[in-house]
Amino acid sequence: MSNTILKAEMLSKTYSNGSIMQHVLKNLNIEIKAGDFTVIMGSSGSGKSTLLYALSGMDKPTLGTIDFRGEVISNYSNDQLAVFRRKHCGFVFQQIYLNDTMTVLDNIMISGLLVSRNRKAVAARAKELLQQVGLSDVSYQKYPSQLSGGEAQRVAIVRALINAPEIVFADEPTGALNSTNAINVLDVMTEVNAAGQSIIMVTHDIKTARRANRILYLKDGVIIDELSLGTYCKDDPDRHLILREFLERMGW
Amino acid sequence: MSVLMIATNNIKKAKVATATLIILIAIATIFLYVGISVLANIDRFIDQKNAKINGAHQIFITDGVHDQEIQEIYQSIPSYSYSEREEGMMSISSSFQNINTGEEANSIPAVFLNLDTERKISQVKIIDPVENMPKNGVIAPYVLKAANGYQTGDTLKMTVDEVSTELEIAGFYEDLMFASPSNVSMYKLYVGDQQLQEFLAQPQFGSKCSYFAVMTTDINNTEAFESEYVKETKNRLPEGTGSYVSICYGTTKTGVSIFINIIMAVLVSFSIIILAIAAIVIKFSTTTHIENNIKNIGTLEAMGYTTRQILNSILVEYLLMTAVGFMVGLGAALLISPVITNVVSSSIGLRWATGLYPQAVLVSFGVIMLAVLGISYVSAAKIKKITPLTALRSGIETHHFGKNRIPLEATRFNLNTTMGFKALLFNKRQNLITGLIIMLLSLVTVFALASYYNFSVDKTAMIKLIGLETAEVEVNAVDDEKTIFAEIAAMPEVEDTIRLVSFDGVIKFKDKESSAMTRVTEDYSRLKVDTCVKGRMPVYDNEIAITSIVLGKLGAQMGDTVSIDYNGINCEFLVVGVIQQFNALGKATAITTAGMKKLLPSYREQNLMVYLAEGQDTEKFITKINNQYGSEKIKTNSYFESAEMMLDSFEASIKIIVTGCLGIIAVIIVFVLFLVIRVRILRERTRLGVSKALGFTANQLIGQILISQMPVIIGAAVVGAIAGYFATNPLLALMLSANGILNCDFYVNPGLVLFTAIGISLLGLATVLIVAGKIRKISPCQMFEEGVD
Repeated sequence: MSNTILKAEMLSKTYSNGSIMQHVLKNLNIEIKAGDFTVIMGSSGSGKSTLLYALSGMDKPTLGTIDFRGEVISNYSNDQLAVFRRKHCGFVFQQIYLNDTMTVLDNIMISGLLVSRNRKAVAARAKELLQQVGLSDVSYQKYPSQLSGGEAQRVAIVRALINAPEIVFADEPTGALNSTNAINVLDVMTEVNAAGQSIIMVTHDIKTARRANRILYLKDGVIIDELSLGTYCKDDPDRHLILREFLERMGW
Repeated sequence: MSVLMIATNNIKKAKVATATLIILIAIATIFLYVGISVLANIDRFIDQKNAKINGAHQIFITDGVHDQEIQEIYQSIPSYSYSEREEGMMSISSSFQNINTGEEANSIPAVFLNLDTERKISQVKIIDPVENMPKNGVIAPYVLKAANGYQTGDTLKMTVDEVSTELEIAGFYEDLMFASPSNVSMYKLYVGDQQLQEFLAQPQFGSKCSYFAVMTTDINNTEAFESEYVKETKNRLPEGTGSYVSICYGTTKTGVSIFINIIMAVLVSFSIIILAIAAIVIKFSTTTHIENNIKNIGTLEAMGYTTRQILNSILVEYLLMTAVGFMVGLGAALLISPVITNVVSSSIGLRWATGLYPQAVLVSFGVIMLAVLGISYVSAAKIKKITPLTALRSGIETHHFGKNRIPLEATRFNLNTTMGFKALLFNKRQNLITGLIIMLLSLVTVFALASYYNFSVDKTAMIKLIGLETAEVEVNAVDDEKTIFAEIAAMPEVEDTIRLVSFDGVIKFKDKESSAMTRVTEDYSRLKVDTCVKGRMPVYDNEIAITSIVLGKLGAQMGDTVSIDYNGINCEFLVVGVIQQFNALGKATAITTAGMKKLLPSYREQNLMVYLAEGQDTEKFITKINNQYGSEKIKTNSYFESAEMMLDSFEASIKIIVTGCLGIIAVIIVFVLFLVIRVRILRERTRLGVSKALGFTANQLIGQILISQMPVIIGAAVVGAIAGYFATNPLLALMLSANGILNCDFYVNPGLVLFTAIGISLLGLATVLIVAGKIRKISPCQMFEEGVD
């Protein structure tokens, strides 16, 4: 039995601005297996974020199909895609995007209550996850503007995990954080992956990419190569070297 | 980059807000310009019209018995200049029906004059004349064309009692003195010599009368001339001398322009409300503009632009929009000038031509420009506090540290309802302003609908406001009134009768005096219309109730003693009450029959108000009593119907104004909510985008916006409509206070309140739904990356 969770075939995305057509993704084929920690890398404008949004059902491809666990989602309506995202996906963004007008707990519960009507259960799970990512009780009723960048991003990760999604999509989650906060966030993401959830992450950062077991390199909308790194081990000195060599080969 | 370039660039970027503001400014311009141009020119226009035809300063219509004495009286008044007298026919019980327009017969007295008579005063200049004057041709007042849609060639059927004849409209004439039935309540009609002689030969149509047109040396003092004339005729002529009509230029001019002045004042007030709404729009737009362009502002500052220059660019932006909006509004005002011409013409009965009035253009432009630039300066002034660095770091973000009033963990509402309520609380300032606008518009809607209802559908309250009784028939007995009135009262068709007489009196207090229509009856508690607004109506022979206008003119108040001069007898009366009425320009008093007998011991109550039983036909009853007693014994008229007819001439204007106001209110509600929701979506695009990414459907997000706006829209519409229910009469009283009206009793149908609340709520919610629907078409990543513009 195949453990493929997400599969894209002949995936293309074209933006048009009047008569100018911009082909951002060109006939991509990707397969994501359950438990994968996949990192998408590439230079600016290579189509990394577009690919992430297309795979997550946030944007529809121009051509090609995406299927999730054997079901084609690329022809879903917007509402069907919304339901798909709330049940199966979690999102972590570079700009964090917590709702400034809501407390930490409400920011997480807003996502949880989309799937479950059991408020107490959702609140309990949110608190449990917050504890897991190292946020104490006092932070529950704080507003995002009262948190540090790292704390806010950990809240965003909890929000992504509240519905126990099969895949977590992360778009440069450490891009706006200092190095200490970035490491903390990556540790949480690694733990999440270790617990069995798939992660697809876009990054520019080699230290971040090192956490993945699979690297896809995009250039001009095409995956030009990929690297399999195996399970992450903190003290593995070769891992960084192999990755650097791969990236140098890609012209990084 | 120059300041002008930055301004035009900003305009290009904010197309919808620009269009909204231009439309609001254009609407405000239409109302303000039309209001100011009419208010500023109506007085001069009437004077010029009158000068053109050498219009009379004073007109007296009498039965011709005392012509010599009457001429002596007015010629003895110092400001007398010259006069003309001609013979005509007075028809008191006439009713008219335009067969071509299919209207119902209107009971209104008429005076017929000879078209072929040479006259210097009030010359007849025929409008839309027929090619060949037919024998039964009649020249009618222009107001019939403007307000009632009469055309040359139409057939006017005149009925007096059961006799009728048909006249063909051969053209129209303009004359201020008989311009509008609003305060004259009779037609002046010109017929050829042959037709007039035929009428005079048939007494059933009316009786011969003398028509005096008098010119004075001072057109601005005709009221004093009339007072002097009334006083002298009371002193020198026996009581009951047949004087049909006495009107002067000053009183008529004020009366004719009252209604249009009120309408124009309403338009100017409405333009101020729209400007206030435009100010809110500017505040929203400026704040959004600064928030959205904070980095551009930082870049410009880093390049060396001063905050003053950036502020100026915003002011230039609004200056350009105001200029365009004003030009559009002015163009639209000129485009709709036929409608305005019709409203004014049908109200004043003279051919008004709406044109371009430079002073009105300058004043309205000045008012609008000052308002727009003032509010945009205040809204944009916070730019001064922004340094380049804070701007580049998006430094004016506001942080929220308030109490979480609806924690998701504890609330019992479902998620979308809770999110809607959270948004409602978070946007409370914006919601408060939106609510205020909707509440105000809801109130104005109830006011407009109630005005329309009381002016056009059920005129009872308006007739009460005018100060008239609700009697269907007025009977004036020449002789033997006791027997005749007792017989009428006993008739099966009659529900009640009250003897009520009015005469023109002169009231004095210290060294001041004022003319006033004085009402006399035995027992005021029997009247159906209570005009007393303070104190009480007179009960004893030494008591009087007076309108606030007369009291103001005399400098008297309740508790003072005033006097009335009548036939050389002077009697003092104690002011026991304040009354109000629109009729006779609010100049009225009321005394008892006993009080009148002190002034005139031989006084007889020769006038009877007849209230018919439910379902009785007024015309049939009038015919019955005319047949029974004959025109030599009694004179009758359809009292209530005449009053209703007087209001009919305003109906078209009211309809246009109310329809226009309601249309504009609807447009404003749509625009304001469009802007509010659009700005909100723009501001919250990231949150909405993230929400979609998290799995909220477009319908859920639209539902949240709808839920957050619902309490504001419905609440404000309901509160505004209820406020309109209670405020309509006080507001009307305030508007009419210059006419001595202190209390109004317009019927505000609760159905109208409900209709307004439901109508405005539905319109508002539909707008929110449509505008918020824009979320639907956008994919989540697009929303938080690019916005929805």
